[in-house]
Amino acid sequence: MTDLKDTPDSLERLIDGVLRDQPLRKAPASLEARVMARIQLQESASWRTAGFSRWPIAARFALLVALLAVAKLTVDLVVWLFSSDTPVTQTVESSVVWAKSTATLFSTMVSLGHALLNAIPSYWITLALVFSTGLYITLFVLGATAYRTLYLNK
Amino acid sequence: MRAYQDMVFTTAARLTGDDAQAEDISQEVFLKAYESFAMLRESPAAGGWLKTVTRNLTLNYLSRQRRRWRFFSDIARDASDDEEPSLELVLPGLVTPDDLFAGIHDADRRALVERALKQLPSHQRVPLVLYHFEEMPYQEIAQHLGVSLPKVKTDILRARAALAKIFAGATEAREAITE
Repeated sequence: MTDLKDTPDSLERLIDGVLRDQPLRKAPASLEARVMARIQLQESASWRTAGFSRWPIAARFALLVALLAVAKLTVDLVVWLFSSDTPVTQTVESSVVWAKSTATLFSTMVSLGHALLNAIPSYWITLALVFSTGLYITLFVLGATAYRTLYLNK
Repeated sequence: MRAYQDMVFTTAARLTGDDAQAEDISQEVFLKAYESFAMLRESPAAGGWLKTVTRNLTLNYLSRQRRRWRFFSDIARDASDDEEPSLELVLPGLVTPDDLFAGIHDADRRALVERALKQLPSHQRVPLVLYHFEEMPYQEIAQHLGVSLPKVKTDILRARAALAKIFAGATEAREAITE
């Protein structure tokens, strides 16, 4: 009988011998396919994320055409707004009215919330806060225990 | 890729103890290799480069995971780390690995060793793998893992003792079956 309690060097030599004899493991068959798929995905996405000068000619031309079309539409829209019968001031006014009504609605809701808070007794609010904090701590501890029990001891 | 995928996967799998995570890490390693393809294509050091990248990516992954779960996992463990390593281990006539695995077929032996490595807790398995498979010295392991030198030595010593116990248990169980 060899007592390894007194021979940590023997233990090191033994384990070293065992581990060094260990051959490489076989990589999963899916690994190569996964890597190739990711490379293809990156390749197809790379020209879009790269600088404009590295785009394909067709893509550069298409973008230029699209930008020219947007510029033309913008100019046409501005000309139409100021030259046609549609009154621009009316459009602006309607926007201001909409903003005012939104502000009124918001202030009404704030007042309502304030009134509700005043109506609820303060100890109810304290109780709710204490209950929420207790529940949070309980769930946190349960999560930590579950992790330690189920995951770490796996 | 085919020439190196087993090496990359094995390194990641032994460090993480989890095949799915090892496959994810291997994928990242080969994507990095693809980015440096021009440099690696003719380089005789491609294997070493891949091994280093695999080791670093895996250690980064493990350290991110450790930080994320530190609150949950380290509280109880740190207390036990202060204890002296227990090596109450008596094995019959241990001289060489062949004695230890007498009567066990090579394939079974390989599977047993991989299973035993997975059973170790990560704070023991990682330094053990770095020391015995990656041939890193204790000091370098301590620097990589951000722990003290004595802790690295203690964890590796415990890991060796735990592995020897598992191997001895498997041999005894086999002997009991054959008798």
